[in-house]
Amino acid sequence: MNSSQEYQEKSGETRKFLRALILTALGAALLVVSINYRVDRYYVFHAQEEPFMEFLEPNMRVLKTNYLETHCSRFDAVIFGSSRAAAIRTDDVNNAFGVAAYNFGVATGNLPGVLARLEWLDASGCMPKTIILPLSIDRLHFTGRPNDLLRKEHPAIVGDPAYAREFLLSYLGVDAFFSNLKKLMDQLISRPEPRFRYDPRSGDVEYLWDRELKLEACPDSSSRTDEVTIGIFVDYLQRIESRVRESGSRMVLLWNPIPVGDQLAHLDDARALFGRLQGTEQLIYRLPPGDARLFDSDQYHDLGHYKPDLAAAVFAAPQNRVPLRQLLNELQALQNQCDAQNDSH
Amino acid sequence: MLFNSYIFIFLFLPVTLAGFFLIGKRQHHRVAIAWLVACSLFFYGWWNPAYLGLILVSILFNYAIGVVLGGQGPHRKASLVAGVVLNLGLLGYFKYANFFVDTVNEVTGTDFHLSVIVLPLAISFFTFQQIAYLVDAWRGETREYNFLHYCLFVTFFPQLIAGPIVHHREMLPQFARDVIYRFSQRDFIVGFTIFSLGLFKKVVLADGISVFANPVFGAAEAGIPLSIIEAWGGALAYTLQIYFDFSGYSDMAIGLGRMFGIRLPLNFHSPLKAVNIIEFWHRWHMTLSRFLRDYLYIPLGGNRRGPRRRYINLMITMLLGGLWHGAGWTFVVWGAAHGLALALNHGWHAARRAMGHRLEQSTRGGRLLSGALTFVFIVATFVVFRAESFGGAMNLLSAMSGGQGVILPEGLSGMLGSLQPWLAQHGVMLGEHVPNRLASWSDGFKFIFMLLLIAWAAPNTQQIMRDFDPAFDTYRGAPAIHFPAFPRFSISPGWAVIIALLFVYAVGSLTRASEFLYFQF
Repeated sequence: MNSSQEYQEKSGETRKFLRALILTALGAALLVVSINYRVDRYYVFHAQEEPFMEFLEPNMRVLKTNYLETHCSRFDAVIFGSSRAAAIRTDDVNNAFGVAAYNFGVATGNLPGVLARLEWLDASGCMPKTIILPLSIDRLHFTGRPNDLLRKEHPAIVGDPAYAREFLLSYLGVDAFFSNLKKLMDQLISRPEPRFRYDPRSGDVEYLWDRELKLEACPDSSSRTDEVTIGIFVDYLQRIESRVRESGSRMVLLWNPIPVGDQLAHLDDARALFGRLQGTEQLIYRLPPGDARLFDSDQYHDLGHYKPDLAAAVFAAPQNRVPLRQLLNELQALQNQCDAQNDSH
Repeated sequence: MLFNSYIFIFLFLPVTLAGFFLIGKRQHHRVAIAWLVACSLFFYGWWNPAYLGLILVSILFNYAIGVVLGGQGPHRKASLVAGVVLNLGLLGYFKYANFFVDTVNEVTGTDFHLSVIVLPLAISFFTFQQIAYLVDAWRGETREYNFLHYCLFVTFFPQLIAGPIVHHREMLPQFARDVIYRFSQRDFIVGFTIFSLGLFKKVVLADGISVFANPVFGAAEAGIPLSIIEAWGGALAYTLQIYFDFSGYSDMAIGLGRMFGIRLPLNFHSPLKAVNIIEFWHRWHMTLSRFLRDYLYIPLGGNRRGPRRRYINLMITMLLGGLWHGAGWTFVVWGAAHGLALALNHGWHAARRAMGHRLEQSTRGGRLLSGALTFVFIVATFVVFRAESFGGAMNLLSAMSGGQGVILPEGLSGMLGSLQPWLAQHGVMLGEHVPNRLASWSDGFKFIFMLLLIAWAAPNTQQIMRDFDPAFDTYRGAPAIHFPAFPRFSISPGWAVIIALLFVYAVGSLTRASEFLYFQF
């Protein structure tokens, strides 16, 4: 140790440095953790059970799983799917199918997520008798696990102890801290309007936004998903089907009533998907593609999110349940009309 | 075990430090070294205990050969050859066997098959360190070293996994110093500060920018046409990711070593500030450059046998340097490109000298132009380095060069006015300039700009810590740029607050540990 080092250590400079370092680090860590826990923007630490709470950004995976963990015996049907499905009213489903349904639709929900939830429900002794599964033809490529704070999966569903630790730590970490600070600032200054109304007893979500829309009857362009991606999607769908069958439950497929223009833009994908499924005789609830409501912007919150009345219309009439082949033919007929229009122009 | 994990920071490191200094305080230096070796092996075995045997056998074998080489026996040369061949054979089997078989199959149309061989962690690093030891023992440049010290030289956990590639001359004498066995608050503070700066660079900067690189390279690999904006965004993001990732790792290693009173060699010295490719290699992964220079380039003849042989030696060195990074032809091409650039750079310098120019008297404009060219070359070659296939690399490089059309934002239409038809004729269109929506590029380019500013304009860790001799200076290029206006680190409460906040920020961002890019090499 040279003389300068000795001087620094003896004069207490290093001691002062270490004291300041430790105190600042502990203070900052405590501040981050306590604000994250208290503010809890995504409602991870404070599951709420009051009816029809209004939220800015709840993590629906956490809220809904928490509720089902303790109340699953009340339900014999579960609606899966994405934020689109989250807007399906359970009362409408109950009336149409004579069941007691829970809406397990979550933001960016996808087939791997549905399979994981089914496995969790089965392992918990809560396998529902009826599984309602909406399909979105424009979301075939959504087969990964979303990992941002808003959409992180509940640890009970993932079932990995390492993930459970990481899950909680991420909501106590720096990203969550800035997000929670924003919520504090919002509360103090801008006071934004809530975006959701949520009923934990049914899982129903009501969206409180509406965007101005101009719906086109015919698509400007078409898009095609590659075969590998479609293969992954089909594989998950078949795994879900066999899981349901093994449990003695039944699966009801719904064709999400997105605007017709968007359905037609993915006609090639629909053809490829149905071709890979076990025969095109499989039945699915759909709203006939010519139905005027599919062209009406008042039926939608935005391009992807339909309103509950439109969802209810899909399964309100038994004749809306048709083979995949018929749905494909109906879409093709509409596309032919669009092609004819384009040719005449 | 990763440096950027909770278990390492809050359990392994404190226990290892406490054990080492508690034992050292009682003057049991051999036991303290044994403790550090045991902890280092535990650190290594955390990944896959099965490979502990491999590193132990490698240590025993090389130490034994070193003893033979250090003596006066008759079989010294044969022992050296056996030692080097066996080391390279081990590396070759684990790292290159599948690559070799795949290449043979492709060329000859055969269908040989090897089972999957898992690459043992750090094998490239500890193999190189020990080859250097053997060569120096044969040259008579090693002294008699204690076996425990030798074990620690190879396994010392801060440098074990991804370097810096340490040299026995700079490590082994340090283990014999009494002073390292006494806890020094000053060394701990300096080490912790460097570690925290490295952790921040890795977790916040490198991992933060990676979300803009990965989808672009994924799309390029899938053959998706990319816009020029996306292509440059992805390529710049990866260049910055690998720089902050690896230099952050090196900082962490240097800081950890210093906590034990051990100094490690400098591995990065602001390489993106280099104004030519020769300087880049004096600043990037400096300990690898040093190894390749001392144990490959110079033994090949270096520059002693005329310019032509020098360029050939450079190419051989860089080709093997490329292959060292990974068993793939993309790495070989990356090495070849750098070898060619180095040869051209040396040729250019020779030509200027022949014309009577003084290289150190470049103009500011000349340096700027040269720096820009060098940077573009580095970014372009890192595309080949990162890509999984030549197809993916070419797709991205083609998009970067405007080969897939140049689409500018529609907002520019007013400014371009009547130029638009002419631009359209030459493939420059207005429209949706990021058609694939791979990332939020408004955020991405802000982040890229900020990191470029840090890489180009800010002092590096060694410059901030320059009053505390943070590392052995392996830099051989032009004098380091100093920043008199930038405050130097000092042992003061103000700096303690800054370092504590950086540390908490980085630790609070460790939601899921990611691996260091250089683990794979």
